[in-house]
Amino acid sequence: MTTQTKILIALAAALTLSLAVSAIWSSRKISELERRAEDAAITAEKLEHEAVEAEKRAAEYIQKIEFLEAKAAEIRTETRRQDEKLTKAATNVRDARRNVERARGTGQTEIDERRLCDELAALGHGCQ
Amino acid sequence: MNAGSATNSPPSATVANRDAVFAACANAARDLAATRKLVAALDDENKALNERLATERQLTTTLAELNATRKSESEALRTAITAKDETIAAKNSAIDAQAKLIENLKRKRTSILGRISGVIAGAAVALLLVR
Repeated sequence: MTTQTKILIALAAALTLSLAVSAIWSSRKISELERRAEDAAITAEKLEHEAVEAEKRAAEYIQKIEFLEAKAAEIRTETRRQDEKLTKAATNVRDARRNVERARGTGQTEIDERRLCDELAALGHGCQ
Repeated sequence: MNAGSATNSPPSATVANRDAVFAACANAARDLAATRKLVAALDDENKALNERLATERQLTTTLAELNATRKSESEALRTAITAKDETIAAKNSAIDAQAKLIENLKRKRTSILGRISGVIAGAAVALLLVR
């Protein structure tokens, strides 16, 4: 085997080795990229699911808000009705107070026994 | 009250005194009647005020609940938006990885040509050896 032959064999061996190394490296890199893409897809799916769940929750809250707004509107209607009732009650109190003042301000009035007894009876203190 | 009726006519002073008592009594009775009406009116007003207070409390509770629910809704929407943003980022990342993969595969195809050239080179060496 001549030196030239040996060199050629060595060159061929080196070339084969380099090709094999390149193939392995390339295959590894492809696997890594595939895994990375797969991981990203899984993460995206998980996050998408999370987003859907959050949207569902938001929709439930919207329904609850609608219900509470309707309830608040009903209560406000009730408060308006009660305010009207209160105004009437305040008017009645004012009138009653005025009547008391008028009754107290009245001077001595002549009254016979029978009428007095009737008035007292109306108050639950009839004459005996 | 026992007004009593005398068999003989009473002295005028006694009659005047009795009339004054009757008048005072009548005034007191009217005062009592009016005061009772006032008490009833005040009771009604008090009842109405209590009812109004209860309703106002109910409204406050409902509005507080409404406020809390709106906050929760806002929070849920924020979470959804964040998750969607992250989903987009993850999908972009997947697309990047796939683009790199494609690029790599293209390069690998080139290296197959290299391998063929290598085989040719090997064959040339073998021919040289045979000679």
